[in-house]
Amino acid sequence: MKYTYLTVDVEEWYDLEYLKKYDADKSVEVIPEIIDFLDLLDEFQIKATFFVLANVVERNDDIIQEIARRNHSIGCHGYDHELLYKKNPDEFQTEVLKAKEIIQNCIKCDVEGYRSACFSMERDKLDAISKVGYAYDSSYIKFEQNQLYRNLDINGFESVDDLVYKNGDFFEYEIPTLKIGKYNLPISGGGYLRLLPFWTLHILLSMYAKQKNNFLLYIHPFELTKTKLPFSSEIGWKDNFRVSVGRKRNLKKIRKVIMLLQSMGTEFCTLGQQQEVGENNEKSIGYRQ
Amino acid sequence: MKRVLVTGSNGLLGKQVVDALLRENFEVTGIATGDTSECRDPRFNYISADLTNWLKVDAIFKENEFSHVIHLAGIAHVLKGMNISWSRYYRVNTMMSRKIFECASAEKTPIFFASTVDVYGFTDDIINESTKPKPIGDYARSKYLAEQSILELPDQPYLIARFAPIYSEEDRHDMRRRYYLRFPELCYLIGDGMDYEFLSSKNAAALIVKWVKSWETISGIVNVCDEKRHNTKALIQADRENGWANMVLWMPRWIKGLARVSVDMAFYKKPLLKFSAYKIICPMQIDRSRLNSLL
Ligand SMILES: [Zn+2]
Repeated sequence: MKYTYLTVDVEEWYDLEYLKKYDADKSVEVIPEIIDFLDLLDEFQIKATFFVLANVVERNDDIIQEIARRNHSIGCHGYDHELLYKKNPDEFQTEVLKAKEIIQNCIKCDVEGYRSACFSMERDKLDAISKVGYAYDSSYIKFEQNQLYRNLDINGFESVDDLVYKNGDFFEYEIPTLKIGKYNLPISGGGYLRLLPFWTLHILLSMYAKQKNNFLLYIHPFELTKTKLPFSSEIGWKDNFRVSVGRKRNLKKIRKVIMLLQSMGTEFCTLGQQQEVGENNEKSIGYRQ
Repeated sequence: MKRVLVTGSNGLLGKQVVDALLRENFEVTGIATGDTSECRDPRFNYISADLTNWLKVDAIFKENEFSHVIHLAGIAHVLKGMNISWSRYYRVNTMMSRKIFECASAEKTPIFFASTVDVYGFTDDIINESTKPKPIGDYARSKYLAEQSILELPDQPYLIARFAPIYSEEDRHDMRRRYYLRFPELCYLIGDGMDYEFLSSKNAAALIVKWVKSWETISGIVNVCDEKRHNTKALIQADRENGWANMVLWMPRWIKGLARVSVDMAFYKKPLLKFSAYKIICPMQIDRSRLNSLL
């Protein structure tokens, strides 16, 4: 495999869609606990892309600045974690601009990338993002089985590389799925990473490598720490399982997955690197080495 | 008039530093997380703030002019601290310190940083300032990284004081851990007593006041401890005069060697526990030449 994009959606554990119906003790936070993960990335000299939810910046401005200080790329995960199709277009446009400014104020650097909550991106919202100055989005997933995800219309975009689409100066990065028969298996998400044993991941990733050259992973802070989450007593076993499974050993598993991907010849890079090279080289889309 | 900033001003050492500076007629600003401070002196200004909030840190440095920054705030190493995550230690002891140092450095304000002799890790040699640090455990590592961040600041006047474990007249808890099995009645004595390095908060505060007055000549790194090591036999004697330490379990000196071998075997793969046990059974020794030359 050629390139792997490691991405993190920087949100709190109680921002998860399926936990929103429960009361949450918000005094327990997972974002400040991601230092071990940042150290792991440093150890492997990997730069990742962190999509930050603007409403967590105030309480974590030091952590967000620390991520930027370690030269990772910072994008925006929206202002709050509401699904995009619940927002009206004007309200949305004002909000994504506000979110961009909040994060930029924190890291004193331009924010160019966007990822929607739960991949709930729609075409009019995508156009709005491009209009307010974002250079790329990464919310496109071909996975009809999950009702939260939208089938984003990317008409007018041309495919320039595996998972990479381009429309004018604007880029879209696809969240990869593994095609097995008529099904698309979303192997790139933190949940699947936690749930599946490593040997299964090994098989699935080897199968994936035969289909595509590039890969993308998306994970969340609650999947990168062992911090005990204060669930209310009414949480059902299904939701409890969904959020808790594999958390304890996940950082170790991520280490193994990184080593596996590296042994498959992949190079880790951040989203948005294409644009920088693209600007310098009109003819072809290259990657910064 | 510029004020002296003391972070962690509600702590055991912080309170004494503030008092000592006020006695010397300095105007002092104290910062801590508590809602209020006990200090009622009109020359003292208290700011209640969580310094992991960097917007707040920026605002404090923008709204005030400081002549000196004395950075004492941080998470201490306590045995219960084994439950504190590396992220927490790093956020408070390293990142927060680095932020304070950068803000101070923007105005070239001299910095005093309270570090720890724990950064040296374990060694049988007598420690001096050129001994290479080998921090063991999250606390020592987080403090050592904070030290490193000062060294990265160009042309920055600073003093990094690596403190021995601190006690005060009211709080000798850390000291007593080294010779009591159960306070106040049952303690143990090995041979003619063991010698431990400690630092009284009074002596620490005196050093800080001295640095504030003459920071231009006192800089770099210094290990700080009391003038003499504390011998447990003498400590037990003093406690007995107060009616404590009624039962003393005496052990021959060779028990130390046996304990060390046992610790080596038991904590073979647990360096932090080994380091904590070594603090009791084979305590570090500090060379006082640099400290004495400064005082
Ligand atoms: Zn999200």
